[in-house]
Amino acid sequence: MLLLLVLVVGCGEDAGAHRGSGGTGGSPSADGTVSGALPDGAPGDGDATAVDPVVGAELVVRDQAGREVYLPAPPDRVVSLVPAATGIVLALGEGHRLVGRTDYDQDPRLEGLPSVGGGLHPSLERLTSLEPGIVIRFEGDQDRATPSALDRAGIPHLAVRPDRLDDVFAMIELVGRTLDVPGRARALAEELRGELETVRERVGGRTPVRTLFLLGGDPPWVAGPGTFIHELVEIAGGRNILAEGEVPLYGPISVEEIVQREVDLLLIPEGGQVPSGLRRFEVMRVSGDVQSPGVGLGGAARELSRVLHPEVWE
Amino acid sequence: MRSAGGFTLLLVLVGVSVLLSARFGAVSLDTAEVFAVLTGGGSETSRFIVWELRLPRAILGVLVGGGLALAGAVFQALLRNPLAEPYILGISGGAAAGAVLVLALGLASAMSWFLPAAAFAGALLAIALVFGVAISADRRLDVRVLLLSGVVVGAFFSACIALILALAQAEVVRSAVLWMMGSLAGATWRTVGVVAAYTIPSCLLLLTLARALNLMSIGEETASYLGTEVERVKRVAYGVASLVAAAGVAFAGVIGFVGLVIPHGVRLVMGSDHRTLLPLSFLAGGAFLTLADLLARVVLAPTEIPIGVITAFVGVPFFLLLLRRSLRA
Repeated sequence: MLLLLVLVVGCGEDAGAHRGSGGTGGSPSADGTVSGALPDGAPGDGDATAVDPVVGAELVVRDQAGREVYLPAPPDRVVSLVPAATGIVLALGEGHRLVGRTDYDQDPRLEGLPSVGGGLHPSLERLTSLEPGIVIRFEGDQDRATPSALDRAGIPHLAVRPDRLDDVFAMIELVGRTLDVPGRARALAEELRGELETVRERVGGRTPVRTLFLLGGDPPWVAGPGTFIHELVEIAGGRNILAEGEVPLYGPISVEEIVQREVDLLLIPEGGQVPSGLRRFEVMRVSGDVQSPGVGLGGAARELSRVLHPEVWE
Repeated sequence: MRSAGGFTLLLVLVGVSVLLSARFGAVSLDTAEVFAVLTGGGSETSRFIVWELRLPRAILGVLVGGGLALAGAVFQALLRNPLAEPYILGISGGAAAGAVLVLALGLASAMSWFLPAAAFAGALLAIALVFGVAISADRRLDVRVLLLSGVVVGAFFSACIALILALAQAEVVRSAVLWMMGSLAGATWRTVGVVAAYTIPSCLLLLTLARALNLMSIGEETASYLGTEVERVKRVAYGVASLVAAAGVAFAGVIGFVGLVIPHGVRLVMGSDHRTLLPLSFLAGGAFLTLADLLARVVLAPTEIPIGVITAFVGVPFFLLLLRRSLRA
């Protein structure tokens, strides 16, 4: 199994193109951009996407924890512990570089890959035994054991933290740079921006629907301002009933607090339970894509706008 | 020479449990590869898996499990209460409150030693509080008050944890709950070193109290008639056993059951002479926790089961069986 993967990995079109561009002052690579000797100058996208000039085959990228990640060469063996980032790797056409998956990855293209367990607290044995060239991990306090073990094993890791939409775009470009397909990543981010813009224009001028996204639980956990879910809801013609600073990212809020505000419609993921105190409100269920900060957000925004403003799609 | 036989048997069991922990895990390495790694060969990845992931966990399991079981045996004698266990004196509550506070303040990722240090400080605070309450006006340590104030201080820290978690973010709640369920996953050689530095001298010191604890379990008055410095023994036993539990809980979280079930199990089989009970409890607790961690790692691999689940699932039926057998005899 592993042998087979190594063979497949060797055939990556971009890896080949990159090697060819090394000393020639930059030749077009497979994704239609110049890579290699030219500094990768994305105009000020924030520090999450800032990257040092590519020197030879080496890469230095600054991840979303602000760490400089040094890669001796574009990694051929990738494990992503963040399903949204896994989706980005696949969307970039670089799925052949993935050598492992988590139990939470749903894409059928990943079916044959060995699982490392959860994305947080994965099996460190499984993870290191896959000998990844880079591990994409979630930045946060929930799992400090994984980055520290990877450091000890000498395996580079890339921290991502897709809280807001801008972070999602930055994550797409960051993954692209790390895999040495920056042009394709820029195009992918642009495509997603376009999809979101289309939805925003479609519902433009409509009265925003006062709503709240419930993640589940009783008292319910909700998506506050500062989350990509909040931004997605607003793009799709909703108005989060929570104002800036009321809930830090995601957090619990009392049912009374929700009841006393004007709510037109509650949003909840499929399979989620509506707290008994909120049964009197209209509740609409949406697919899990809305909660995954990755390339599916365009579709998720369309879905949300259909729920919030069905009339514009008729 | 029943105790010598038991000692040898358990020592072998500890060795076997460590070797089994090195041999098995979420990744299947064959025996030849593991043997090569242990003798200095093997591939780089196999070496990392065995030397940096499996062995530190196994050794930490021996130290923490042994320390908790020994501390449990000491507390049961000291408090003359069969329900006494290392965490009953508010130690786990204090440690958990310290750990949760550091997690909630977002300091846990700043420095890897912040969290265990805060947990240890919380445990020490709880120990000092309980001791301060239980020491009476004439400087005597009242063990009944010790037990009562320990339970109450523990309850107070639980309330602090509930308050912090109610105000905290989702990821803090998740990591706090995971921490409170206990795990050896964070083991590195450095944590093993720190825990060993606390546990080994403390346990050796506790072993020297065995004879005094024998007399104390009859009654403090009798013990003092027979020449035991009761007050000194009580203070040393309380302080040192608490330190052992605090070191364990700081690095491995709250692992229940080992400190309660192991000493009773050993007592049922080997009798309650503390000169054999204390060392055998250490060995049995060490082997038990290491094997429990092995099961936790492999049963549903690559997902790990909380180790407390294994210690309870294996410990409870085994203990009930022993209890039943001893009643029939």
